[in-house]
Amino acid sequence: MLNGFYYGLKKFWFDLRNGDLIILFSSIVLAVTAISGVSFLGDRLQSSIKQQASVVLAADMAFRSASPLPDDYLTSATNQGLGVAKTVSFLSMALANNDNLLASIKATTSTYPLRGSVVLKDFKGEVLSNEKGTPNSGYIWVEPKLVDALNLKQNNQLVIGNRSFVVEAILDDYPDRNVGFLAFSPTIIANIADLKSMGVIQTGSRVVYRQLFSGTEKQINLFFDSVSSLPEEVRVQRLDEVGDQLGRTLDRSTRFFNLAGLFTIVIAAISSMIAARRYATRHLLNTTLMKVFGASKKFILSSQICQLLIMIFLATSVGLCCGYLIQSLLISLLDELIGNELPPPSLKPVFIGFLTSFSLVFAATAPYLKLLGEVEPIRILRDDFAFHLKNNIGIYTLAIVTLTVFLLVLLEDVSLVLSILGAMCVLVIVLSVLGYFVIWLLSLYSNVSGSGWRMGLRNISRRRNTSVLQIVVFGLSLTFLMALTETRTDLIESWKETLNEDTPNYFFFNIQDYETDEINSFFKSKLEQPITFTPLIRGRLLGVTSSSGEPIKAENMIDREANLTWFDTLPENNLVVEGEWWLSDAGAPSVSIDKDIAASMNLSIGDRLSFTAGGMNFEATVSRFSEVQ
Amino acid sequence: MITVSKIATKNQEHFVKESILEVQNITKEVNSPEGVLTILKDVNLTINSGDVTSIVGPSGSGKTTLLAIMAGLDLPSRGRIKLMGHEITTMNEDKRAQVRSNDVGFVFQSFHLLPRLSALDNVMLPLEILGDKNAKKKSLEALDQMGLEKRVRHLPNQLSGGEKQRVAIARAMVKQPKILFADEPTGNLDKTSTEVISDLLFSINRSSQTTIVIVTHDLLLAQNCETMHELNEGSLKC
Repeated sequence: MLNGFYYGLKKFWFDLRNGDLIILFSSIVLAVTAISGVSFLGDRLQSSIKQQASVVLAADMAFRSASPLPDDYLTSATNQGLGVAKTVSFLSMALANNDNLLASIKATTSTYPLRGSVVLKDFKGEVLSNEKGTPNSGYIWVEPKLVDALNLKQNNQLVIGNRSFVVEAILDDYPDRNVGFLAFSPTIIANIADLKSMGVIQTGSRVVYRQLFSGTEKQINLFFDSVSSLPEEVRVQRLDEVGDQLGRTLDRSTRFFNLAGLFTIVIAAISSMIAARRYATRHLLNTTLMKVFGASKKFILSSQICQLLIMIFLATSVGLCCGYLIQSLLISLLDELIGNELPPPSLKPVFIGFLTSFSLVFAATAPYLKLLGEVEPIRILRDDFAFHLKNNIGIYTLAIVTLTVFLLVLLEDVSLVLSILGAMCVLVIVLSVLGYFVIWLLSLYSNVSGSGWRMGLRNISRRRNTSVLQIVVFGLSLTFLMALTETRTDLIESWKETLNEDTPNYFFFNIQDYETDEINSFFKSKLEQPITFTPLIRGRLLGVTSSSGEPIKAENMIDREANLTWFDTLPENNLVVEGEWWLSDAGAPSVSIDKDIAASMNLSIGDRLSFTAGGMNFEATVSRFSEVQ
Repeated sequence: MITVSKIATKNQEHFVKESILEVQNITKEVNSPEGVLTILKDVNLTINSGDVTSIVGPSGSGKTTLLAIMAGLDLPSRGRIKLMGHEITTMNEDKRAQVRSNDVGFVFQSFHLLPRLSALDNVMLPLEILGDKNAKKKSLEALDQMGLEKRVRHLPNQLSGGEKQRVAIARAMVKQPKILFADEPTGNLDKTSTEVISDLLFSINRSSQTTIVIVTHDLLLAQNCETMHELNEGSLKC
């Protein structure tokens, strides 16, 4: 066995130099490059999404509730070695310099944030070196909008509820940005120790209580499993959930790359099989001679396996390097979209690279290795150096099954793999039948005048199987290229179709009333046209009174926040499906509702809805159903 | 004139002739579209150590099949072969390969030199299989004894027919076998080269007492052997 390995090792460079292994080597490099390129890119993007998701949460996991959470969870997490922090967020008036503004207050413990960092600036706009995420008791950090609106200066006093604070710095950036009703007001970060002295949280106040946890994935999972019976109102926020939306976008593009990867692997597998046949054919005399000179089956196999293992290692390494370079190129092309620097890749793409080459080499060479190992020495006296694969259906089936299993493991998409392989089988049959038919037609004209043509046509007929194989491989490659081009076009077209014509490229949110004039004049000067402002407020549906007595299905909508807007005139993109647009002098307030939401709630024109928004409760009558383009 | 005085010394002390190969009632049948075809029929033959034996016969008489069975490259349908004391007809392929690896050499009509290996690498092949650390030195000596010291780095397609066969003989003799099987060793050679190769084989036999079994059409070569057997329609005549 060792003799065989040593012999294989000695002959490896010779075989590589002489071209016996170079095509197989190149096929493996190509497949590993394609797969690892996509894998490196996907891996780094996924890691980046996870990192960004943790910044969105300021933690690896968070419990969120509208009522205070018991500290038992924090104690238990600390005992299990996790990092913990607590935040309390609510809306309150901020008073300074005889002016006031509704602000979103975030009171935090000193350990906040567990992930990401708080960036502060002084009042000259210089970034401050800041290790902390929470100001000392009695101090606050405020967002620039608050500075402008209240004309704040460094060390000014700002009052929240019963407590006066010193404005220490400007809040330039912070993780876990507010969402929902807190999102539209500028943020103030205060120390949680000052919360009680503010005296603003009363019974019925709208408050978001959050407990933050950080640790390894395993630690987080163990802790989460150990937490029994969380109250119903507690929402658990985890990285997977936060990264889900970004992940779904990535998944769609990864599926396209996977399709390209699948085609590459199939083409690489076919070229590997052809290369393996060439390799085996060129080694048949060699192997037969070795058998005659006394080499055992074990010796033959171990020398071949040694060569293939070296080749797998080298080809995979080269492929991984090329894949990494391609991934770097793609990232540099996507630089503007990706923005920040991506984390380094994990070892997963390396594992996938080796899995690719092992599977391909096994699928391509197993039938020939078996034949080489079992070649009869008597062939040397018969000058018989041809391969007879008819009795090796079993090993071919094993090779195809290996390739299929590998593709299923790699792409994790049973329907994609099976449908592509199924379509490929049909295509192979059609191309083979077509190939044999064309060769039969050509054989009818093999007596044409002109010795060149005659010899050429006879040669094609004589080597019928090889010619058909070439037709099939060529046909498959062209079909794959066409399929990829078509899929790419379809992907872009279907994405375009989801957007209306003239869909804006940018939206600006959270523009306050006092900012509209300035923004309008800025865009007028830049675009030479006015821009449209759409008012938005988050409101909550409190109840529905049916005018017709029909049962209303409002369970899913009650107590959920929805976007409310208002107009004097009917917007252009708004179609009235049922009912009428209201008149400005109609008197009682009326509302227009999206037709799909209305249908899901079984609403009728004339039903009365009660809302709460911006601290006010009001009622409105449903006057129409609309469709917004 | 090429001499082989330095080749193979391990058998030089075997002057007492004893049988090295015993063929007993060998029959070889194969399946063909026309039914079972008998290629060899009850062949009996004994070859003594140090002899040069030739087997002649018309094409299709079964000469090459008999050589393959005697050398352990193929198995008979019936009968026994005893090669250097080993009952090879009861052995599996790997066991027979082991017998061949140490004590059996081969020379073929088509030379069967590996086309992309130099003359030296071709000669080294049997020793590399044995894991011989002195493979290169021994192979250079063997080529030197064949008068091919200036052809060491040449590829087979850069050699004449006679030179190719001398490389093949060097490859066969490099591991100092007890018995050498030659299948039509002069079949692809011109008259001059035929004489050179014939002389070389006899010279090897004289210097190293290596037993040589030659299957040939060349009656001149066959008649120069100590024993000549004629095979006709699968049966042997002395």
